[in-house]
Amino acid sequence: MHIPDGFIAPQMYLPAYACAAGLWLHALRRVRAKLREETIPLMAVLTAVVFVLMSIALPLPGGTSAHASGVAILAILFGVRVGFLLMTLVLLLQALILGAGGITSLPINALAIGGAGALAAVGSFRLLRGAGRPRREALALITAGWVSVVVPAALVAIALGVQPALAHAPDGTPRFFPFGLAITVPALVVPHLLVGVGEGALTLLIYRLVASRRNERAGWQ
Amino acid sequence: MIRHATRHRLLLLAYLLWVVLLTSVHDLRLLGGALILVGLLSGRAAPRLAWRALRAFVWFNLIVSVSYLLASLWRGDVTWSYLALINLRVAALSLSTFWLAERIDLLAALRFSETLRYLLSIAYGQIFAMRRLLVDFRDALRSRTVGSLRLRDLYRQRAAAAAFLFGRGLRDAGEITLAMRSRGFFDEEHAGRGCA
Repeated sequence: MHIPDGFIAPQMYLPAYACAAGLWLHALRRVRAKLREETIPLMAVLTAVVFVLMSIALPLPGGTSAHASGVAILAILFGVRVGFLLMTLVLLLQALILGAGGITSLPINALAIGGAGALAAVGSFRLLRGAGRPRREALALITAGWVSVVVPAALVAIALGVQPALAHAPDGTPRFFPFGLAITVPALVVPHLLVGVGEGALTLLIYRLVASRRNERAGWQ
Repeated sequence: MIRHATRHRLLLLAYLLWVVLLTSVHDLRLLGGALILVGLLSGRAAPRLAWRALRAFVWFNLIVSVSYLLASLWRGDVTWSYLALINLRVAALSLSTFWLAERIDLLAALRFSETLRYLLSIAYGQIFAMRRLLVDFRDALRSRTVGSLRLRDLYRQRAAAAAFLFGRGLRDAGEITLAMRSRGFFDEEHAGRGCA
């Protein structure tokens, strides 16, 4: 879902960089306050896991497919701040290695997917999880996966949809993304309502498989 | 090494300024000139980099351009200059990014933060190893499947692969920690030199 380079006006991406930079520093400080020997290798390896996870195609009914984001499982297992930082690194590497996303859209993608997506996933998971009740936990995990996709999709749609109003020529011709909110919100949010179900199912399955190996990672969080 | 790092840091800074410039200019001739300039700077690698850049942006741009064209035709007011502007800008940005990726030593450019440098260098190596594993899993599934798989089985395979990667990642992180400890990384860090 992330925005490619060239469609966001500097009027938006420069303030977004300032905002994201503040949050990156804050998250890094909080992570470093708990810095242990394992933190750097663990974060690096998880960055690689999420990078690869994002290349996994989720088949959807009807023969189409979407790509996993992995932000929900990452945020639930390791916290919102780690999720935000790692998603930023993943997006940076994607921009530089694959040319996916981009440098101008990096802060918006990071804030939407890594920030809001992680926050929404952890928030909904904590809200819905019932201690010792597997069915409620399953529902909480599916919902967490779903909101981790739908909330960023809505934010990305808003970021794109305001471009014509934000940057246009004197005659009204757009200079960046050409379509307004009336088009971007349904165009992005509606398909992601379905993609979110796939992400939710994957979040549940990964969580269960990882939980079965929880003893191995005791003490990491 | 310091000079090498400074050079690559300056290259990164120049690229960032170039990106801001490309998104601040709306003149077709200037954007066209910028695209030609990056193409010339790429030298012999230009066709290869252009192909990679094209593959990265072509689908999204095609969807946006065709949708815009259809909407404009519907209104009876096609602005061709917008289509040229957005495609030239995206092409110039994309080619510039691939040009940078080919030339920059990112780890040297990020020497100001040892934490970031270690993070990226470990992550970079792991990405290639894990991508190979994922391809192996996919091929293994294909080779053992007659006909088409049910949606449920596809999800279980994807989840198993993802969980395996998480498990392997956690195990590898432990091993990398031991390797870093044995090389004195954490001693330097605690002395205030390693981590920034």
